[in-house]
Amino acid sequence: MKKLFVLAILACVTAPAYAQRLTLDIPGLAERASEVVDVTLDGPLLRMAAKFLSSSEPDERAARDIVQKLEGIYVKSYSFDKAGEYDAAIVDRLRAQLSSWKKIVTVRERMGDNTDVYVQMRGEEVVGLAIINAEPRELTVVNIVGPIDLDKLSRLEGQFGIPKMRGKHNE
Amino acid sequence: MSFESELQDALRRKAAPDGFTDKVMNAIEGHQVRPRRVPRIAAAAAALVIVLGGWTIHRVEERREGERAKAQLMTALRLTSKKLQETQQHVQDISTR
Repeated sequence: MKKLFVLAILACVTAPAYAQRLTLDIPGLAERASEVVDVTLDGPLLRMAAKFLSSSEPDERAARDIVQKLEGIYVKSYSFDKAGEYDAAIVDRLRAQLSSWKKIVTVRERMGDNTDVYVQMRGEEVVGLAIINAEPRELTVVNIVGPIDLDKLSRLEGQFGIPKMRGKHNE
Repeated sequence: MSFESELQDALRRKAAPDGFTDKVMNAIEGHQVRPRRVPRIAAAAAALVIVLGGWTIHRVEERREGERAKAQLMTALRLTSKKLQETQQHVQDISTR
């Protein structure tokens, strides 16, 4: 029993400081898509990209603040000419990888637009973010690994050429 | 004197004069082609050009890779921001219904 306790303590101590990286590879999907966005930026490449971000451009400055402590950014987005080009089981498999993550937002629409936002926590800190957005003609998966300041991330809106969001009550 | 005796006299073996061998050897050595020596400064300049060339190519390649990574990063953040914004919009729409 004592050994088991020591092993449990060791497992906690040696647990990775950052969230897990998801397996985003979906064989054969890229061939069926009309447009594919595939971004794989792990530690060293992310640092290199950050070095090339300008401090005079607001969007690049904001990006640099966000990526400072990140370990990886992985994005896959597939657009299709018509609906039904990908199997719903693909989305289920992606969701299954996130069983230990905390789902913070779920959006289900009648038109078939489904979005899930997950975070992984270490104490009070968010150390991973995952977004699965499944639409009839588009599938997007985002996986960010490392400490994420969600406030900074939400402040990004309006800085990337996207108009700042306004709720109906503001209109 | 008959022709035969003149010929025999002309072809008679005679000892070489003193110092003949040395003269011949000196003449041979004087005509030997020596390999050209590349001046040290030229060799150093060539090495410098090679090193600088390699370094420049490395820097250009590194810059290209960095710009490519930056473009990827901005694409990823734009897409993430867009998806978060759309989700937040849905949530706000639902909460104000």
